[in-house]
Amino acid sequence: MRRHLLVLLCPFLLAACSAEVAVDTPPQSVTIPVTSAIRPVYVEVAVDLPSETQELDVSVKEMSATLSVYNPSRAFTLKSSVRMSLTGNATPDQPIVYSENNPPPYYATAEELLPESPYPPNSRTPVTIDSSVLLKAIGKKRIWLIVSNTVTQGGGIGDPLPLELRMEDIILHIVVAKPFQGLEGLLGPSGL
Amino acid sequence: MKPPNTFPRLDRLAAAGLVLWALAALLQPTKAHAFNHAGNARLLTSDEAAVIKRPVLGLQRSALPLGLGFALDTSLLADVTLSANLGVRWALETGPHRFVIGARYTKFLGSKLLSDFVASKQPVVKNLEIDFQGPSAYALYGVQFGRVLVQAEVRHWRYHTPLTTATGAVVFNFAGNWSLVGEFGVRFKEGYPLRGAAGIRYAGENFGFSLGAAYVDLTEPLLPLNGGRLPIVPAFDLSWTFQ
Repeated sequence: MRRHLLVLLCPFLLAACSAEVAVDTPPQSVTIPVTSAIRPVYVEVAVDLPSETQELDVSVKEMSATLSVYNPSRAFTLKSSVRMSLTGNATPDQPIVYSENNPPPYYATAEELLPESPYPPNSRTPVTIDSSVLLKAIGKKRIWLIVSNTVTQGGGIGDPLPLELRMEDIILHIVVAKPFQGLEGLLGPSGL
Repeated sequence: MKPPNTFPRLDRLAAAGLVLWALAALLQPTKAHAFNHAGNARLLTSDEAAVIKRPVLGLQRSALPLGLGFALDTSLLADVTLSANLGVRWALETGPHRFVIGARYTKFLGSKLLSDFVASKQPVVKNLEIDFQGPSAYALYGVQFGRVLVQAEVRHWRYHTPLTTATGAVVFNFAGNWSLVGEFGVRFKEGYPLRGAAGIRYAGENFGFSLGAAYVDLTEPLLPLNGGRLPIVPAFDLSWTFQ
C-alpha cells in the first residue's frame, strides 16, 4: 500500500482522528519437499509485511496468520512445525530448502509459531496462528518462516520419495490503529 | 562577564511609557464608531466575540439565530467532508463587553464510503474505521475599544483525544468594513505548542470574507510535503449574511 494513500484515509478536516486499518498480506504458498524419511527438511519462506505495520506511530491491535496445510501423500503422516525468524536469506519469490537436517544457524534463535503437529495422509488442515510471537514482526519489512518437515509414519505403499507438504494461502491479518494527532491544528481553520 | 548594558534604565522606562501611551491612544473608546462584525462571527481560526444576529451561510460557520442571543450553527467546511456537525451558541453584547458560550457535536459519516474506496484501490486493505466524533465546547470574552476588538477564547474538543486551546485575538478595523486580524494562542498539551494566525477580513452587510495564514504546525510523517511538517496553512472564509 502506498504511503500517501494513508493520508487519504484522514480527509483534510479529520484533523484529530484515528484510523483503524485492517490489512491482509497477499496469500503465499510454499511446497516443502521431503527428501529423506529420517532427516528433517527445513524450508525458509520470506513474507513481506505491509507498509502500514512499519510506521513508527502505528499501534498494532491484532495480528494473526492463517494457512492450510495440505499433505497429498497417500500413506505418510508428515510432522511439521513453523518458526519465525527476523533474519533470513529467502526472498518472497525464492524459498530456500535446507535438506539433510541442516537448518541455518539462526534457526536456533527463531521463535516457535506453530508447535510440531502431525498432518495425516491426504488431508488439508486449516491452521490459525494467533501467537504473541507474531507481534515481534511489527516494524520489520520482512519476516522469515522456517518450516520443518519430517516423515513420522510410513506406510510405504506406492508413495516413493520425494514427497511434499504444501502450506497454502499463508495470509497475515493485521489491524493497526494510526492516530493523526499531529493534524489537530487543522481544527481551527476548519471552523470546528 | 556581564555584557555591557546598552540601554540606560531611564531610556527603557521612557520607551515603555511611549508604548503604553500609543496603546492607550489606539484603544481609546470611541462610541460613535460603527464596528462591523462578520455575519458568521468567525475570525481566521477562532470564533469572534460577537452575536450572530441574522441567518448566515458561510464556509467556516453557517448559522440560524433563534432569538435571545441563541443560534444553531454548523461548520459547512466540515459538513462537506462528511463530518456532520451541529452546534448551539449563545452570545450577549452589553456596552463594550461581548460574551459567547457554545457547544457542538461532530460525527464523521464517511467511514464506510472511505473504507470501500480505499479497499477498491488497495485490495490488501480489508477494512478501515475512522474514529472521529465527539463534542466540543467553547467560551469567549471580548471587549471593544472603538476600532479595536480584543478577545480571549478557550475551546475544548473531545474527539479522538481531548484537546484544549486558549486563543487571544485582536481585530483592528482600519478602514470601512476592512479589518486586520491577529490571533495568538497555545494548546494545553506537552510542551504547550503555540498557534497563531494573521490576515485580513472584510465584514460587509451581506458579503463577508477573510484570508490569512495560520501557524498550526502540522506534523504527520505521512504528509507528502516538506518531510511531513507543515507549519503554516491558509485560513480562509466566505460568508453571506441575509439581512
